[in-house]
Amino acid sequence: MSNRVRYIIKRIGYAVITIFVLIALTFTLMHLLPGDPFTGPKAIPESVKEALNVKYGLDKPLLQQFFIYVGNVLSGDLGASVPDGRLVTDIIKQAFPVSLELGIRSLIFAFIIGILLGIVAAIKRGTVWDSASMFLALIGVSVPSFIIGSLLQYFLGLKLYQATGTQVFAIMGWTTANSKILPAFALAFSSMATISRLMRTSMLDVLNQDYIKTAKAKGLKQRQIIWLHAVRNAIMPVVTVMGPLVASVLTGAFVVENIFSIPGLGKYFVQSVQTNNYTVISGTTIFYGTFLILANLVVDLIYGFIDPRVKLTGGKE
Amino acid sequence: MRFKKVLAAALACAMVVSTAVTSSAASLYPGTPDEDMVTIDMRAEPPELNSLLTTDVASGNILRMTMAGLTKLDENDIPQPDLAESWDVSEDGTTYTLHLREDGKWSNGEPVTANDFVYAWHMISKPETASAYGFIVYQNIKNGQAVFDGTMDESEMGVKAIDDYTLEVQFENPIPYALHLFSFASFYPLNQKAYEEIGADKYAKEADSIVTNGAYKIAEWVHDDHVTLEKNEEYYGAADISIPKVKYLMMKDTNARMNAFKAGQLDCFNLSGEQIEQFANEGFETKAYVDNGNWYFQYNTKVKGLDNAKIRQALGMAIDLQSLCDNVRKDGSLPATGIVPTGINGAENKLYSEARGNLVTYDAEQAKALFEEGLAEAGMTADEFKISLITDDTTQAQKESAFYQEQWKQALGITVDISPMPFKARLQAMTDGDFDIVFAGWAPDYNDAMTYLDMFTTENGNNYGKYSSEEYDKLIADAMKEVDPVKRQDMLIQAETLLVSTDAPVFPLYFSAVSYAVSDKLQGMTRTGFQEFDFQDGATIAK
Repeated sequence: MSNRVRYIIKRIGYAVITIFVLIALTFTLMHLLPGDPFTGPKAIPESVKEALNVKYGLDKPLLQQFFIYVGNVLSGDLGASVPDGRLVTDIIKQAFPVSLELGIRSLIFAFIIGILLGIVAAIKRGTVWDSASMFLALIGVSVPSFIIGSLLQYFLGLKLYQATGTQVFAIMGWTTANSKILPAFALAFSSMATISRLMRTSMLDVLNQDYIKTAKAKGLKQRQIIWLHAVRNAIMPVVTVMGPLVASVLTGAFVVENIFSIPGLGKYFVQSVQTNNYTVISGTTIFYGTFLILANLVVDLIYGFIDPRVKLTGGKE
Repeated sequence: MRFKKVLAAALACAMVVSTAVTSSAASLYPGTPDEDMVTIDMRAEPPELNSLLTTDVASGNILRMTMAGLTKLDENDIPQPDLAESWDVSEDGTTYTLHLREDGKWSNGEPVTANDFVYAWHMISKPETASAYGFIVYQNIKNGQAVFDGTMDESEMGVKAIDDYTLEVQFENPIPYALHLFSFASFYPLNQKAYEEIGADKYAKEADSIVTNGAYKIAEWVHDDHVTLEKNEEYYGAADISIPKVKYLMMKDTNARMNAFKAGQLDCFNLSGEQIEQFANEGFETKAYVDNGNWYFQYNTKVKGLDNAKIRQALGMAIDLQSLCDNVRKDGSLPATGIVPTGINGAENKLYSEARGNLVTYDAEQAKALFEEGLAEAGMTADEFKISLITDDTTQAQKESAFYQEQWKQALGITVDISPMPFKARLQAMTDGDFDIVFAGWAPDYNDAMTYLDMFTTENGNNYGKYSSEEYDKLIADAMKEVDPVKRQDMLIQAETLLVSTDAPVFPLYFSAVSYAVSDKLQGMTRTGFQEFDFQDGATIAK
C-alpha cells in the first residue's frame, strides 16, 4: 500500500471518529437544555404530551434514543423536525443550496477584490493607495457583517432607490439577480480584508526575491513581472486559508441571511437551539460538521498534490 | 481654491440628493409595484398548516384565508355565516343544528359536506393525532373527553351529520361563544380522501400536499421565505374577494423591514417603538390595534412572603402602569385594567371590559402600608423578604424589568433580583414551580373572558403559581354552566375581582398593542386580536 493511500485511509478514519464524537456531544448537550420541544406558553394535556413523545421517539430512555438516532443517521435519516414534522433532510435539501450559493458568491467577491487590493497595496507601497487599501482591510476585519449589511441596505438599497427612483439593489429576498449582490458583499467583507492583507505581505515578500530582480534585469515589462512571476507565487498562502475561510463564510452566514431575509440554513442552525428542536439541532450540526471535516480533508489532500514539498506522512516506508 | 470648488460641487450634489429624498418621503409610501398582488411581512414561517395540529398565529393567518369553516369573523371579530348558512340553537344553549351551503367545494373537486366536519372533529379527538389544541374541541363537545380517554366510542361524540348538509353539534355546557369557536382552525373540516391519500405525516407540509376550501389557494410556499396565496375562483364568495394575490414574507430584521417598506418592496409591516417615533417625525400616519394579549406577573403562592395576599397586592399597587406604557414600552400598549383585555366581547353586545371597569390601582403609599401589614402577618422583616423576578432575555424585557425594580425600590424599599432567561428555560421554570415572580403572557383562544380566567382554577395546567381558591373555582364552574349571559358575566367579573384585587395571585401589567405601517396601495385590510391579517372583508388594491 502506498503512502498516499495509507494517509487517505487514516485521514478518513479520523474524520469518521470526529463525526461520531460530534454526534455524541451534540446529542448530550442538547438534552441538557432546559425544557423540551413541546413546552409552549400554553400547557398541553399530559396525555397529548405523551402521544407527542411517542410520535417523535422521545419516550424511550436517552441511551436507546441515541443508538436509534446513530442508526438512523447511518441510513441517511436525520429524523423529522419537532414539532412541525418536516423531514430534516428536506430542510437541508431546500435551505443549504441557498446558503452555499451565497457562500460561493461571497468567496468570489472576497478573492477577486481581496487579491486586487493586496496587489495594489504592495506595488504602491507607502503611497495613499496602500493606506486606503489597508484602511479598508482594517474596517473589514473590525466591523461585523450585520453592520456592513445594514449600511449597504440603507445606502445602496434605500437611499439610492429614493434618489434615482429605480431599484438598483433589492433590500431583501434571494430570487432576483439584484437581490444577490448586497448580501454576498456584506458576507464577503471580512474575508476580503483577510485576503488583501495576506496578499499584500506575500507580494512584498515575493517582490524582493532574486528571480524578480532577474526578470527586471531581462527587461520584462512591469505588468509581465507582476502577473507572470509575482502574483503566481504570492497567491499560495491565500490558497492555504481557503479551508478556514469557507468555514467562516458558511457559519457566519446566519447574520447576513437574517438581515437580508434569505431562506438559508443558518436560521435553522441557530433557531433550533432556542426551540429545543432536537432533530434539527443535531441534523444541522452533523451536516455542517461533516461538510467542514470533508472540506478540510479535501484541502489537505489537494495541497499535497499541488505542492510536492508537503509530505503526506502516515506510512512507515 | 481648488478645494473650495470641490466642496461647492459636493454640497450641490448633496442638496440635489436630499431634495430627491425629501420629495419622495412627502409623497408617502405608494407600496409595491405589482398590480394584482400585495406583499406583507408576516415575520414568521407558518410552522403547521394541518388544521388538526396548528397552534400558532402565523399558520392561523394562512388557514383563515384558505379554509372555510362553519362561521368566519368579520372585521369586528363578530362571527358571520360561512359554510353554515343558518343555525338553530336549543333552549338550553347546548345543541346547535347547522344548515350548510351546498356549493362549498374542496380544491380536489369534492363537495364540502357535514361529514367532513365529523371526520375532522373525530380525528382531532384521537390521542394518536397528538393535537396540542385538540382539547378545545373534545373538552367542549359532548362526550369528547371520554372519546379522547378511550372510554367511549367516537360514534357517541356530540357531532353528527344528519344529512350531507345538516350538522348537529352538542356541547357539554351552554357556550355563549360557540359561533366564535366554529371559526377557529381546530373546528375546520377535513377532506378525508385527501388526508388519507397524502398521509398524516406529509399533510400540509408543502403547498401541494394540502387540500383547501376557502377564499384563497396556496400558490407557492418557499419555506422561511414566503407564501403566496391566489384567489380561489371556485369559492362560493369569490365575487366579494377583490385582491387577486397576497404574498406573505417572513422577514427577520427590524431595520430591513422598514427599508423594504420605504423602498416599495413591502405594503405592510409591524413597527418597533423607535420606528413609530421615526414615522411620526416624518408626518406619516401609522396604525395600531390592541391584540388582546395580556402580560402579567404570576406570583408563586407557595413561596414564603408571596403566600400573603397583602404582600402580593402591595407589589402590584407599587407599579405605575401608565408610566410603564408611556415611557418604557412606547408602542401603544395600554395599562391593564384587569386580566381580561379591552377587546373581548361581553354580554348584551357590549365589551366585557365596559361592565368590569378598572380593577387595577396605582398607589405607592397604600402599597407601602399593605406591604408592612403583610410582612407582619407573615412574621417577616423587609430584609428577610428576598425574591427574584424571572423575565425574558430580550432587550425590551430588560428595560421593563429595570423599571419594575426601580418602582419596587422607591415604593416598598426592597430590591428584587432580576433573572433573565431564554424563553424555553423560563417556561421550564414555570412548569417546575421554580420561581418567585414570573413575567408571563397569554393570547386568547376565543373571544370570551373565560379564556383568560379558567386557567387560574386549582387544577388547571397553566396555573403555575398554584393559586387555589374554592370560591374562585366555584365561580368559574358555575359560569361554565350558566345559560343567562348577564348572570354568567357577573360571575366572571366576581372571579376576576378575586384574581386581580382580593387574592391577587397575579398582577396584570399591560394589554399589548401592535403598531404597523401600511402603504397607500393596500386598503381595507383587517387586523384585530383574532385576525392578525385578513383580506376577506373588502380589502382592495387602490388604483
